[in-house]
Amino acid sequence: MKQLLVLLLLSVSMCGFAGENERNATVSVQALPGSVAAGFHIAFKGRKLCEQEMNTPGFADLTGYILEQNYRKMQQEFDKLGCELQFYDYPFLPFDDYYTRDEMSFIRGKVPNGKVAEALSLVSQLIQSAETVNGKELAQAVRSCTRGNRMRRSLNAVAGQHLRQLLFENEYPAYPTYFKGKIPDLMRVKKFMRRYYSPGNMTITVVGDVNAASLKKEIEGRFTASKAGAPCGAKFRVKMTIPEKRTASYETSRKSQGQLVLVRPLKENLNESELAAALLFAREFSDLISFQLREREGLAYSIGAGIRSIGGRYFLAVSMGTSPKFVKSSADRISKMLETLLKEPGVSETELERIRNSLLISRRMKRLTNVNKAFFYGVNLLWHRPLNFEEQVDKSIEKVDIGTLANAKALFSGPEIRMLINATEGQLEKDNGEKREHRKHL
Amino acid sequence: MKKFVISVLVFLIALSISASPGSPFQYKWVQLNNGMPVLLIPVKENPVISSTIVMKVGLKYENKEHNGVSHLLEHLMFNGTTKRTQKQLYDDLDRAGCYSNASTGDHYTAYYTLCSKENFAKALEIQSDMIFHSTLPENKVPKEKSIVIQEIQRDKMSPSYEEGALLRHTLFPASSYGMKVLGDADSVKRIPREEILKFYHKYYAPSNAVAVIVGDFNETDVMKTLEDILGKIPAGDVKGVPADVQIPSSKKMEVQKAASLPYSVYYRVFQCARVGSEEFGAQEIGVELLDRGLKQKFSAVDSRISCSTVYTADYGLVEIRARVKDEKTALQFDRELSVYLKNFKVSSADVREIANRMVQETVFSLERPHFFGMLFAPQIAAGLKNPLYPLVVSDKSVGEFIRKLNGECRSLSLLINGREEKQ
Repeated sequence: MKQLLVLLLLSVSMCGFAGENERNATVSVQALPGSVAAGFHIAFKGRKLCEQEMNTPGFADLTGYILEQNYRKMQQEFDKLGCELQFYDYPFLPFDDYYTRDEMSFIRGKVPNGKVAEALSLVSQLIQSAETVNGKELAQAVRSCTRGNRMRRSLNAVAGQHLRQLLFENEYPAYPTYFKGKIPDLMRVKKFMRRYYSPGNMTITVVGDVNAASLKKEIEGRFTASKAGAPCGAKFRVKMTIPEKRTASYETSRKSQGQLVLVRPLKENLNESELAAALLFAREFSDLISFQLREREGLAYSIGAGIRSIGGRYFLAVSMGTSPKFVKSSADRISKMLETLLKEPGVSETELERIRNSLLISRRMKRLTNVNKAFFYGVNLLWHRPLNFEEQVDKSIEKVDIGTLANAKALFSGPEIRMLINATEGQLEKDNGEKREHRKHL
Repeated sequence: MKKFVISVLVFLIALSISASPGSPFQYKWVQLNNGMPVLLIPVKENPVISSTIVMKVGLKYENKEHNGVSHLLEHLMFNGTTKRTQKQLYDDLDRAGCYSNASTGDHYTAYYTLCSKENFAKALEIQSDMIFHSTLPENKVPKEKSIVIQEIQRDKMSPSYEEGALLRHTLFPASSYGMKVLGDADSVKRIPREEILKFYHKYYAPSNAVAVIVGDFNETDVMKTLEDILGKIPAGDVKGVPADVQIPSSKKMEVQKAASLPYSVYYRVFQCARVGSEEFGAQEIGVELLDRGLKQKFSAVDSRISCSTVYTADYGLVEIRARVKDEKTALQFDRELSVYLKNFKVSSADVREIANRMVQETVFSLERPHFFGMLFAPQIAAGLKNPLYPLVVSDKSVGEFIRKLNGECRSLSLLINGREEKQ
């Protein structure tokens, strides 16, 4: 009876209350001797879950700007340490495959190996000082994040937001990524920050030529709250409604530029070797379309296909930047090329070697810097995967043979969803028989 | 004989340019048998090596009729060589697990590769084949023109496109530097293949190139590979032509209308030291100090106010940029800026701090060996020899740089007057 009670209590705590009384940040430090510099990554968890719960759409985006403003004020102190911080919408992050903007926002930094503890101590002060934001500073942050940010207006960002709305309806990934609108109430902003930026809602990962044990202890001591908070959680598998094959078309103010995004969901719960095979197939397809449509015909100024995780599910995602007059016809052709490739017999050994090596270098390039390694470790901790998940996938990619790659085609079973941006009207009229939407995106 | 003696002397001088022990990283300049200079930087963090080949050619050598030829040529280089079709080129790069990219600027075109250290020789052979044995196939020209024109159209949508074009035109009204690197749709359309070929044969030779090798290599092995692949290519005889470029100088703020620009922006531009000069390091540190100071002093004018440098082989510019509300605000800022610059003080501690930070940033860039090449290609093409230059700068020389800004350098104030911003 006693055992049953203990089990019951344990199951209740695991289901409902795990993580709800956290005071400390989750910290992981990996020693990498010979590193030229160290990197750290601080993830603020449950970004859109928190925003949805508190009805504060885009507040992680907005408050990120407040942090960045404070960083500018403290920059001299960071400079003295040789530490460089980057904020969550840093434009050159090679992590689009992860769509982590649904799950978290982050601060990351590069720092000399011997200065990690001091740098993180400064970051802790930076985060705490953000809560003292006043009305003037908030207004400045609103201006900065709503004006002049080209990323949020990029056609890929527009397509990505609409895609999430299509797939997840009222679930958190469909919640707005970027802040829009007027200056919100200062108290609401502070309330959001107290919860979202509490130590218990942080996952801190560090990689460098450091003493891992003592540094971990030091960081844990620094990132602790005086009282338990209510972290935002880190749910990343959600209910998804995969619509029947459909086309959604949108217009933006950038009428001279066209974009198409085409996605196909993969089966749920892929294991590592299935993921490896899917990645290889996506690379094969990416090469095929870019060679034909870009290199041979010059139709695209950017084109590529890859496997992306959205809301815990993997998708084959194809995107192409082109002239508006080619958007619809290119989508048709890409779709046909995919169907053909899915039906074709497998590749030769030489071709597999080519695809494998090209995929591996692009994956390894993303992990060259310690700050990027820290990012991946942070994502893996957040998603309850082994810390070295990426290395394991690389090993699986090395093992994939012709037969496994041919079988990967069965993973792409879901229907196709198309997002067409700024496609010319004439072409859309011909788009009969498919369920489609046509909206203006302002 | 005379040529040989000069070559040996140049080689010995080149060898002497290297980092001292205890430096934040090691570097060494060497020269291949055909005279091509190579910068070697060993970094053991990841088992990869990058090769950046910087061609000292870009917008500088273009004319109005064929504006955009350097960039179009850069695109065409990926389309086939005397021994590889485009498909073979791409497949060989992929098989070697090789990342490859390129960029074009005012005075340089740089080609980057990154691969595992085991495949470095293969990657370098493909890169060398691509750069020095391209065929620029006739049937690929329309396709690349189409891609470039789409790039131009995409860039045109950014407000900074018009801002950049107006600034260039004002600073260099009579020079090729006043044009755009990508050219415009009309100029790109009308460049005949013969012109591109002529341009390619005129400027693409080892005598007009610099290589930068960064990564996990053994020096003896890497030198043998470099000599075998790059060192055997005939040097050619490209003569770089220095251009006497001077920006207009005026004490009165110039105003340019930009009807489609959704904001107004103020520039103060100074023509200062070039990359190879003694003052270069002091100028770079001085500009960093000014950038920091301006952000503190004038954040109410524009929180993203900046001070930065632009270099080519022919000039060095210091640019202060701030978004302003209107002409009245710009004039007031112009006056306040002059006072600020006159009273600007340089402390020894600040100089050391900035120098350390700049070196640290270079160290950070070495984690991605190809990125170091991308970052330094413009300065290397303009003559940079010592990537650790901030370490040898004195506070006195930084003070001297600030003094020169107050009257000695040519300078220009410019307001690009766009539509008024909604508050």
